This record gives sequence, C-alpha cells and structure tokens, in this order.
Amino acid sequence: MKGSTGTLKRREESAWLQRLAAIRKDKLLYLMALPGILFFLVFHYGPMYGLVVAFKDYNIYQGIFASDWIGFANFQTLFEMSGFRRALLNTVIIGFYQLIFVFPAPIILAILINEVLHAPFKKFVQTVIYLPHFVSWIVIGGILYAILSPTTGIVREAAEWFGHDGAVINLMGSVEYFRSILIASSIWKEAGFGTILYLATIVTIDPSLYEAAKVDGASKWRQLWHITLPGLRTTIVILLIFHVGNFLNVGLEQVYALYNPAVYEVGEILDTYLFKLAFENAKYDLATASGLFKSLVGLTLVLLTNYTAKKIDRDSGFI
Amino acid sequence: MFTGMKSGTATRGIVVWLIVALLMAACAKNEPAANKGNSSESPKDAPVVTALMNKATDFPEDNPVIQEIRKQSGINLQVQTVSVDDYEKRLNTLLVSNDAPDIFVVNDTKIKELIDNKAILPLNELLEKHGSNITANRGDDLKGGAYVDGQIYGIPEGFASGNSLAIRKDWLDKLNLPVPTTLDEYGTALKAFVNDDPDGNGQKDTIGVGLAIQAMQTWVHIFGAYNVPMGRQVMTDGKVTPWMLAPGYLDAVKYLNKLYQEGLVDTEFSTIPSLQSFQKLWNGKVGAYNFNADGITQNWLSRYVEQPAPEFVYTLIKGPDGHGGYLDPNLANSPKYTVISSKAKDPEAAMKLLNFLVSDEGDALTWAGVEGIQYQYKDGSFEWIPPYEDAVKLRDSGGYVYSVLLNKKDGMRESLFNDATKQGRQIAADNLIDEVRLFALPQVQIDKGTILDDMEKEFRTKAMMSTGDIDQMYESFKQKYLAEGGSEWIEQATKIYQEEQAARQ
Repeated sequence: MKGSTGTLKRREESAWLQRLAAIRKDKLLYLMALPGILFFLVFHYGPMYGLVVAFKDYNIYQGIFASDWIGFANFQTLFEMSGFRRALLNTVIIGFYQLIFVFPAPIILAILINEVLHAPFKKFVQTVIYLPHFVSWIVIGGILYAILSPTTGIVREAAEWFGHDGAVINLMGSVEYFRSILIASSIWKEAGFGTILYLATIVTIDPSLYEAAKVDGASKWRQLWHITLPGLRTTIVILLIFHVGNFLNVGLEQVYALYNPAVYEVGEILDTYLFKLAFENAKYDLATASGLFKSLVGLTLVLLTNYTAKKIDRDSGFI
Repeated sequence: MFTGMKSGTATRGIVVWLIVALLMAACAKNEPAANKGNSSESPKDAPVVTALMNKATDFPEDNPVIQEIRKQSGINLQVQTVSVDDYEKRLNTLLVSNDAPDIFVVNDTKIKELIDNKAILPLNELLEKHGSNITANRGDDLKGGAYVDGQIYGIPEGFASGNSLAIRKDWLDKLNLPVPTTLDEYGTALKAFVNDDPDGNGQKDTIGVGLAIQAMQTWVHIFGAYNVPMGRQVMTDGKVTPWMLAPGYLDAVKYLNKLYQEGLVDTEFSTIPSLQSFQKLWNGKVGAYNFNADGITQNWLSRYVEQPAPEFVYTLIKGPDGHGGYLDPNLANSPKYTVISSKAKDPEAAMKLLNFLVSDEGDALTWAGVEGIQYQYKDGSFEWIPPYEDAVKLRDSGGYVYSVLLNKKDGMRESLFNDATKQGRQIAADNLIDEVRLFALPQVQIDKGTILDDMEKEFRTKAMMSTGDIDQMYESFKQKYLAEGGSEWIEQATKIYQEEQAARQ
C-alpha cells in the first residue's frame, strides 16, 4: 500500500517536474505571454466582479460591495416593463433578419470576388468594399439622412427626375421600411470587411480539385457547390458560432444613429432601451442585469450551435 | 554561443522593459492637463480652486481670460475641461474615485443624489460670508430645486432662454397677411407660406412651421395655445399631472395632426436632426419657427443665406379659449446647478471665486473676454475687436467658455441683445402658461424619465401622422404610460407638491 502511494506521488512529482522543465525550456515564450495573460486577467476577468451589480440595489457612492443585495428583483423589474418586452421582441426579430440576410452576405460576396479574373480590378474591388467598415455609424446616419430625406434628400431628386411630383415617402420614419434599412445598411457597411476570412480560406483550396472537376465536365455551379462551399464549411461554421453568440447584440450604435420616435415601435432594441435607462438615467444595476441576461442567451446559443455543428460534422465547432 | 547569450539577454531586457512599461502605463494616474497650465499669473500664495466644466470647442487651457480671472479674483483657478458628451461620465468617475473637483455643475436629476450622499456642501454660511453678489443676483431663485431642509446646495443657472414663435415678417408683408395671433390666422399664414411661393423662386419648396421632434422648443407655442405647458405639470382634480395627461393636450395633438395632414409642417419632423432643422430656417425655407430668441434673431444672424436677410417678428398664438403662452422660465427650478464639493480643501476660496464670476467684472470676463483684447467700447457702445465677432474665434481665445461655470443673471449677455431679440424675450416672459411648480423631481422621473418622455414622443409622432382614430390611440397610450410608471409619477409628484407647499409656507 505504502509503496504504491509512494509511486503515485513520485509519478505526480515527476509530471510536475516535467511541466516545470517544459516551462523552463520555453521560459522566454512564457514570459512574453505574461503581459497578454495579465492583460486578460486585469482588464477582462477582473472587472467581471462588477456583474454582482445585477443582483444589487446599486448606489455609486456606497460602491459595489456596500450596496444592498436584492436577488433577482432587477430582472423582475426589467421584465415587468412593457418597453423592455417590446425591445426584446424587436431585438429577436432584427437578430433573426441579420442571421438570414447579413450573415450570408460576405460569403456570397467572397465567392463573387473570387471569380474575378483580372487581378488589379480584384484588388481594387477588395479595397473599396473594406472601406465602409471604418466609417462610424453616426457618419452613416448623416449620409443616410442626406440620401433618404423626403425634402432635401437624393431620393427626392431622383423621384423628381423620374417625373414624380407628389410627396416622397419618409423611409427613415416609416414602420414598414425601417428594419429593411437597418439590414441593408448593415450589409453595406460590414459585408465587404467580412469577406477577408472567406477569401483567405478560398485561397487555401487545392486548385487541382477545380482542374479535376473541369476535366470531369463540372459546370461553374457544380464546382461552387462541390468544391468551394465545402472548402468554406469550417470557416462558415466558426463565424456562425461567433455570430449567434452576438445574436442579441444587434447594434446599439447603428440603431441609435438611425431611429426616431416614428419607428420606436419596430426599431427600439434592448441596447437602445437600456442605454436610455443606464446612461441617461444612471440605472447601472438594471443595465447590468440586462447585459447578463443577454450574455446568458448568447452563451446558450453558442453552445447549441456548437453542439449541432459537431453532430453534423465532427471537424466543425470549437469545443 | 557568445552571440546566443547576447541576443538572449537583449530579448530578456526587451521583455522586462515592455512589462515595466505596461505596468507603468496601467498604474499611472491620469493627471488633469489643466494642472500643467500656466499658473504664474496668479500670486504664489493664492489658494488653488479646481473646477470641472464642459466645452463645446477646444480652446487652450491657458488663455488671456483665465489669466485675468486668476488675477482679478486672487484665486488660482485650475479648470479641467471635458467635451459636453463626456461630462457626465467624467464627473461620475471623479466622484466615485473621491477625486471630485471643488466646483462643478450638475443637472437637476443628479442634485438630490449628491445631497443625500453628502457629496456637496450646504452653501448658506458660505453665501452669507463671501457670496454677496450671488445672493443679490439670484435672490429667491436660490430657494429652488437645490434648496433642501432650509439649506441651499446649488446655485441655479440664471438664464431665461426666451423661447417664442418667430414668423417671417417679410413673407407676411409680401403675402399681405397680418401677424397671426389666433390659431385660425396662424393656419391661414402657414397655408400661404406653403402654397403662395413666399420666397419667389417659382417652386413649391417652402415649409409652414419648422417642427422637429429632436428640438423640443419648436412645439411649445402650439401646446401653449391649448394651455399645456410642454414638459411640465399641471394640477387636475387635486393631483399633479404630467403635461401629456393635461386637459388640452389631446386637442393640441389633433391640431398638429391637422397641420401635418394639410402639409403645413415639416414632413420629416420625426426624423430630422436638430441642426438640419435649423438649416432649413437658415436657408430661407421655413415661415414660422419656435426657438430661443437669442438664437433666431441674435446668434444665427450670420447664418442666414438670403439677401436681403430675413426679417422676423415674434408673436403669441392664442387658442380656442383666448389664451396662449410660453413656458415659465422658472429660474429657481434650473436644469443645472453649480455646486461645491464636500471634498473641497478650501470651500471659502471656492465661494469667493463663484462670487467673483457673478460680479460685473467676472460677468464681462466670462461672457465677452478681456476689454482691449476681445472687445472695446467705442463712443460708449460695445463692439467686438476683429476677429472676435466670430463666436468660434471668441471661444478659442477663452471668451464665453467660462460662463458655463456660473453666469450672471441679466448680465452683459442680456444687455447686448438687439431689439428683435428683446421683443421675443419680452413676449415669452409676459405670457406664461400656468403650471405647477415642483422643486424636487419624482423618483420615477429620475429612474425612468427618458423612457417615459420617449413614450410621449412616440405617441405624438404617430398620432400626428395617423389617419385613424386619435382618441383611441390616446386612450391606449395613456394606459401604457400609466402602467409603465405614469401612475407612480402622479402619486410621487402630488406628494412632493404637498410637502413642498407645507414646508415653504
């Protein structure tokens, strides 16, 4: 008995020694990683203690620890607000639209760009479509207003040019079109930048596959279906998991820059609602509760998608 | 081998250096830039007073105006400036980290929280000792929203915006119309502005009244005609009621609906940003505009593009019962208060400085700048020294900017207004709509104010554009509003009102 415990201990010790030896061997690498690890600990894990605010009646003068615990009262308050429920519903709808329309846009765009044969033109197109990503939503809000304003906008000029004489519809203020404007502007701004990863993946697909397919008489569509898309599959799944993790983050900046009281009904999302509550009225506890709720939904969706992806294809997903 | 060692040491050195640099950067305290400013202008032993203020434009921390303030007041004022959008955030950060400046400005929703948490000082004694200019200038206004249990905690901002309806006089003359004073006459004028080509360019491109949901002031005259004080509260059936539930509100919305359906208001009132709404006025496309008189006929004079410049007249529109009016400026119930931190090292010096800002000399300095540099008197009349007639140039040299700390009521600014602006301010001051004065805010207003206000904006917008049953829409809005916090609002406001009346009698 005694002997076997000793062996076990020795084995544990030697495992430790081995690990220590491995660390010592690459100590410079570890040392170089240290600032990064510290950064994450200090700036990403440290502040997480602030999450307890979600369960407290937070008073900024008392501080996080001295404020009173109130259990789930903040969550209850949130769900009792009809504005919050409406915002949640809008967020889910807009998130769903984004999943269907915004997520696939860069994939299609990447495939289209990949088919461009003239190299300088291809580079030019790539550069041009990356640009909108770097423009802030506030600026885009101004640009959209300049385009869509029914009195001074380009839409009006265009309508007049086509001989339309009456009033022009105010697209930014119409309940029917507002979500479409959100989706369209999202695609316009982000689809180009989103192609980077897909294009990088397409480059790694073995060209001999296409040659073989051509010899077998496969059309462009067939090549796309049987070679390009399967080659992109892993990337698509990983990006999909990222995307659903942010399902409820449909874009505070974007909606805040574009919406107005005429479209609150369809455009108010959790982030904008909470922004008004948290920053304009300083209810940090409610905002944290909502943030925590959103993160939990995001985490659940990530795990679900990951699980489904693994079921369908063992090589997909992360965990 | 030797080389290997050397590069190893070098790498190690770099890594260690990087870590140290990172830690230094993380731990270094963010010193306010103002402290590095030139303080040589004030006497060596002058007490130091710190202040936080917002700024609309970047201006040098060290400038002739602040130097003159230090010299004349004998106090070494060190100002930390932060852009308007970041002000609230910075103030919260400073308060939480126990680093609050001696003097700062807070809005009405925050003052109670600061008093409850003893973050600011009661000022009665300080005012008595060192604040004679302030007490003389503000008078009873000091007993407003920052007056709690017999103590004055904050000095209210002392400027009435003189918000009233300006109409294009030149257009009225051209169309042979009188200055409208009733809703009917107003409607006639607006129709003519839209249909009869008042700008004479042959196109139907003019707007009757410029309304924008983002610019609250633009609506005041219409609600005023129905005796509804926009954004305030009235007494109905013994209860303090918010304006959107006041009698007359629905009729005003129906009138707005009629104007919208007839095409007499800016069709994009719901989406237009404030600045673009102003621009339509500046570009000569709008016939009637309700805004601060010191904007329309004073500060905006250089913005109008038409030649000759547009002419405005201010008027009062009376409603069905022959009344009309504008919002009570209610200076005691200011949206902003200047306060002294309870952490201030030398509260007496802070009060002396504030008192200086309200003196004639301080007022001239913070408003117009230094005589002989930014302005001069020629034959007894005021004039700017070029290039300071330009507001941006003036701000960049330190003029005007410090008045946000504390201004003088009826000071230099008001005395320099032109006749048109004075007429607008007079009309606004002479015709007030009845309202219930509340000094403290209901808690639900502090917690959910923006959300409740937005519910009203949403209803107003939808009701104006609707072709359906507005009564029914209003009924459903009312139910939702009351459920979301409106009932609590009425209850809390009524209680506050009763307590305040009892305490102040």
